[in-house]
Amino acid sequence: MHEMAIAVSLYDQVCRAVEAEGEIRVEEVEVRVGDLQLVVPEAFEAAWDAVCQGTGLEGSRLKIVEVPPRARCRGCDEEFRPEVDFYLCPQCGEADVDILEGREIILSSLTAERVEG
Amino acid sequence: MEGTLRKGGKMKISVVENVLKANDAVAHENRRRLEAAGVRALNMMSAPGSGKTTLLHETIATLQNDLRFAVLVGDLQTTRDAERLGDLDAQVTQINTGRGCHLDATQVTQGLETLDLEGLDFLIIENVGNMVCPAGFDLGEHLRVILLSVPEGDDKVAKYPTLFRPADVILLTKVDLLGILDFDVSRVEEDLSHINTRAPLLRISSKTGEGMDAWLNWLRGQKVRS
Ligand SMILES: Nc1nc2c(ncn2[C@@H]2O[C@H](COP(=O)(O)OP(=O)(O)OP(=O)(O)O)[C@@H](O)[C@H]2O)c(=O)[nH]1
Ligand SMILES: [Mg+2]
Ligand SMILES: [Zn+2]
Repeated sequence: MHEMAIAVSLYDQVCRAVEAEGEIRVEEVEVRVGDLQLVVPEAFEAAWDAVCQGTGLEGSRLKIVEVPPRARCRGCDEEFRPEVDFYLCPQCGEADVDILEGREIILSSLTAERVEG
Repeated sequence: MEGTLRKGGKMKISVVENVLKANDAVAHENRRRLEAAGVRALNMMSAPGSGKTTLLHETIATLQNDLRFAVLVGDLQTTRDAERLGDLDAQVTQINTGRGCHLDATQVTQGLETLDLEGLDFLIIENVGNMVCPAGFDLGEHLRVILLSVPEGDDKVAKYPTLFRPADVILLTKVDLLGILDFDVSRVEEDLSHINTRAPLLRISSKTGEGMDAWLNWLRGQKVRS
């Protein structure tokens, strides 16, 4: 359900990036989405289309790249790849971590075409 | 970081910007402001109806002679939860999110504008009842209090790990119903053993008062020392 809030922030950032480039038409927006955000790709795409409707970004496609989580144990500093439902440290056996990766949502690139004036 | 790569009429523009940056920056500022005032902020999250408002009421009613509380309570609609807390000696502000399924840091900033932080010990933020979305948004809190009520079932830690993983304390609420519903506490403990071994699991009932002392002691221990 939080896909809409994320789509709105993403829209603002894409608009700013586009502004810097002049007259372009955006075809694809690539976003890296951490698995721990539990973003539902179909819901995110639908939210994106809704936010872009009637704007210069209408018709742009979202490309969602999923990022698996990475964690550091607070007890022994071991870095490892947990699962969304499994955070046991392989070194010391505690489940008490800081998340290093997997919570982020990052606008990584745009594919665009210059609009010939 | 920006760069543009051109190939024919098409170009690829690298951007690398954190989409949640706006929220994180506001959350950071909220935390700084609360710390400057010596206030400890708690973000209370759970499914709808787990007993957040009931527990808040009991907690503040018991501690209000010793500690100063303020509450921000988030719901899609109505000021009912704020009204339920209206008889307490505490500042209470309701935040309506309309269609929003979670509180965000900007709404908390707006809530803070309505509060006098002077002399306050605790700010408790009751998030919108929802087990998925609130966990993704930092509000500027220091501690996360996660509730799981007995009627929800003993499989919820396994099903919603991203809610329970960052918890600083987990409250199993409505334990007065343990004898009535089939709820196996050892399943919750088993699931937490690989999801979160930091947070204590406290069993409480706002109805009978069972386990309230352990919770109140935990809370007292979180007060900022001056
Ligand atoms: N049996 C029992 N019922 C409880 C207990 N605590 C709360 N309830 C009941 O559970 C229902 C929901 O409680 P609330 O405090 O409104 O729950 P909430 O988490 O604030 O709900 P939302 O704000 O809507 O998400 C109410 O009918 C309460 O009376 C308890 O310890 N035992
Ligand atoms: Mg409530
Ligand atoms: Zn470890």
